[in-house]
Amino acid sequence: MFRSNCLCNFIGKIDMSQSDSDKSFKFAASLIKVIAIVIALMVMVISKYALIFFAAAMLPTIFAIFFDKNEHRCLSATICSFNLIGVIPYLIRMWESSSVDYVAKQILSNVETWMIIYGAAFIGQLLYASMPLLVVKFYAAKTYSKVAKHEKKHKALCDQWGIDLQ
Amino acid sequence: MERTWIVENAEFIALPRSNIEDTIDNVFKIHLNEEILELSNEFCKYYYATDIEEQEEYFAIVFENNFVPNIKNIDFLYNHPIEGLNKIINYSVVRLSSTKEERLVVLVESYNVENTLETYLEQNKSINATELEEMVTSITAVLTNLQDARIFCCSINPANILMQDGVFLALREFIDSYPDFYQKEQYLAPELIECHPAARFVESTKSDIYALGITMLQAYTARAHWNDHKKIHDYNIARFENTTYKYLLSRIKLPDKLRVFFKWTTRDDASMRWKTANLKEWLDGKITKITHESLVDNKNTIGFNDHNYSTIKALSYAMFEQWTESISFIKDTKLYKWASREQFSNDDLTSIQNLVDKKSDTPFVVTNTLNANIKISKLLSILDKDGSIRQEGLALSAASIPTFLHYLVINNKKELAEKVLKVIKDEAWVSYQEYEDSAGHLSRAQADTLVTMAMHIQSGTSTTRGIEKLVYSLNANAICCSALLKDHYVSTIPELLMSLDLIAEKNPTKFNIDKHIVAFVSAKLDLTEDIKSAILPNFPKISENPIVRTLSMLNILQTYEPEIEIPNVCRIIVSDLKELFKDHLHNVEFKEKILSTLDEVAKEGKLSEIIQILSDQQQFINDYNGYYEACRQAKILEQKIKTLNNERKIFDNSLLLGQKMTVLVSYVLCFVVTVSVIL
Repeated sequence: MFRSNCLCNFIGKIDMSQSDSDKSFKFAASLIKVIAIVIALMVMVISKYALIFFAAAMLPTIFAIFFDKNEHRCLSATICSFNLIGVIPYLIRMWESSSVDYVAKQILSNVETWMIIYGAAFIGQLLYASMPLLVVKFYAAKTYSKVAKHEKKHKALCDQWGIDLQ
Repeated sequence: MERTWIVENAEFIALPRSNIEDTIDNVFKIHLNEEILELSNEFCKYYYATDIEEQEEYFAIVFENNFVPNIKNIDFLYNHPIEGLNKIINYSVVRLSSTKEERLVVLVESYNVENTLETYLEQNKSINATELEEMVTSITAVLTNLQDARIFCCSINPANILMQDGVFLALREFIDSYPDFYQKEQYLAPELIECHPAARFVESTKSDIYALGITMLQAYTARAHWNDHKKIHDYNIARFENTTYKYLLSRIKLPDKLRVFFKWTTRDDASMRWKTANLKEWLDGKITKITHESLVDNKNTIGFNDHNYSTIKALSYAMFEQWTESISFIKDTKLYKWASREQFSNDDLTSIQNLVDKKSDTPFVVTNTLNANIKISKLLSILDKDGSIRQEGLALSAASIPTFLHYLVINNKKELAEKVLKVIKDEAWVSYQEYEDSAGHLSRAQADTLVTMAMHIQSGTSTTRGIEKLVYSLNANAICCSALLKDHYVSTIPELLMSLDLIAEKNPTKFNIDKHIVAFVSAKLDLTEDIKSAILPNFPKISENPIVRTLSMLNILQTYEPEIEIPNVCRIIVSDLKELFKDHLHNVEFKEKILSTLDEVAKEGKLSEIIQILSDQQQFINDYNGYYEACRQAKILEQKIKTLNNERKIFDNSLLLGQKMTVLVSYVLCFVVTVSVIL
């Protein structure tokens, strides 16, 4: 009775820790989007051209948020991060210039800017599509080797003690 | 040839064995195709036999193996022939060619089965007073010699008296059945009348003298007086109601000398009946006068179940016959009133009064019936002191208990056997202790032996404490009645070992130690406790296996008889043990080691060495524990493999991990880029 109670408590704790970890990860995944919103608010105060630039630059993130069906919102978090990687150098350049509007107009009108920003977002998308699959492959290979090891041990045990293999 | 062992208190006589089939002592050939049907009975078969050299004719009595002949009597009569009793020529255990069974065969003088007193009387002949005296002289001499050898109950009746030319020749051998088993009721002394046919043995010549008296009366008068009655039961009632001698002597005229003889030989009360010494005195003319006693008494009658009874024997006979009615009868005070008018001592009257006292009964119906049964038995022992031990549906003489119990067990009459066991445990003979001539009497030494032997007996439990063991303990010459030993005459441990080895060699598939063998061994070795497992007592699955019990038992036997080698038994035991260990040992290496060691030991044929190999219990404990630990480990591994083989779950988990890692990598890159741009 006591043992079964302990087991129940233990399983309960595991479930709780798993849900805690899920919550933390969900928070971590949404953190980058919060940062992006904070940046957007700051940009809105500084310059309307800068805001237009930021809004246009963050379009991949906006789309990703809408199309992300993942429970932990990993897709949008990854694309947002890479989107920011592409945007932040330009925002810094605007921040350090004497005329934010002027620099913002220049950046907006430069095709290379958009190629870099959307390219970064695209790399994020590619990474999201490929990296989990790589991990899956690696993990499966590791599991198969573990199963083979256990099966070998099991067979040796059964052979030694005459345990009937069903 | 003569060899005597003492097994507990019973005297055991080892039997000679013949090496040639159908032949006794290499001299006498039994003709199995020539059975004498007139003499054969359910305990033995009679065949003609001849002397191989002289072609002289004899009778061979081939005993059934489920019968216990009295070997002591046979041996005595073989070594000390008695004039006037058909002579035992030889005896031996012989293998019969017809059935290949070993049987005890006793060779006796042949005689003309048609020449008996019975056939003589059937020819409407009679014997005169002189012939009667001559016949009584011869039979008295036989009875005296038999009495000196403590041999009793020789079934005297006209059919058993052999004649030659109208003169007494000899008494027929009476060893062919249980004492008085086939004795007709009219020749049975009143003290034995209620007894089961297999329980009529008494250690007294009184019953023989009664039979002699009745036989002589029949021969002298050439009349079977019981034929005046439709049934023998009616004759019994008539003779007990009037007492035998009054009933018979009132019908005929006799010379005074003969009247004296018949009066004192046909007395109903055994204590009053003549002994052999009185017969001699009568024959010598020392007793001639008859005390005049009215043959018609003033009767003191008592009514029981719509009949009036005036003698104690008649009443006790009726009470035993109508036991259920007796239950209400003993509650009636008229029994006490009647008894007080009879010649009972004050102590007996007090006992009768206590037994018929209504107040002593409990109000419970079941207890009432049980009490009533006990009371009736007790009451009958007080009323009829010469009688047998009587229980509901069973009467027996105390001296016949050993053979009677054997008869009941062998014939699978468990209910009666339980009753006899109860008689022993209750020491029912105690009530008859003071009356030596009574059928219920048992000497103190015999009583002590019976009680001691029955002390450990618990019916329905273990074989070593079962009723079969008691049977073998009480009958030292009883052969082992195991189905396995059907063809063998086994009455000793060496014979058992040798027979088992022979069976193991010829018929290994049938080799099986049954409860009769265990009981036989327990009795012979006087084992009071169950035979403990010689190997692995802590492993019930192994130690309680029949083959291990067999090994344990045979090991005990071999300890007692180390010089007898049983290689075939060893081989079978080892083979069975190997099968057992194949099923019950787990570690493959250990199993192979044990099996190969057993194979090596089997060649030497010593059970003790097998036991020696298996004596280290620790290695078996390790095997047992190891197996269960291995099973636990295997189960854990199986569970792990099952979990790891769940591809969907693995995919989901690893994909989630990959996604999390991607997010983490993107965050790190974002941070690095931001920091590097700022700096």
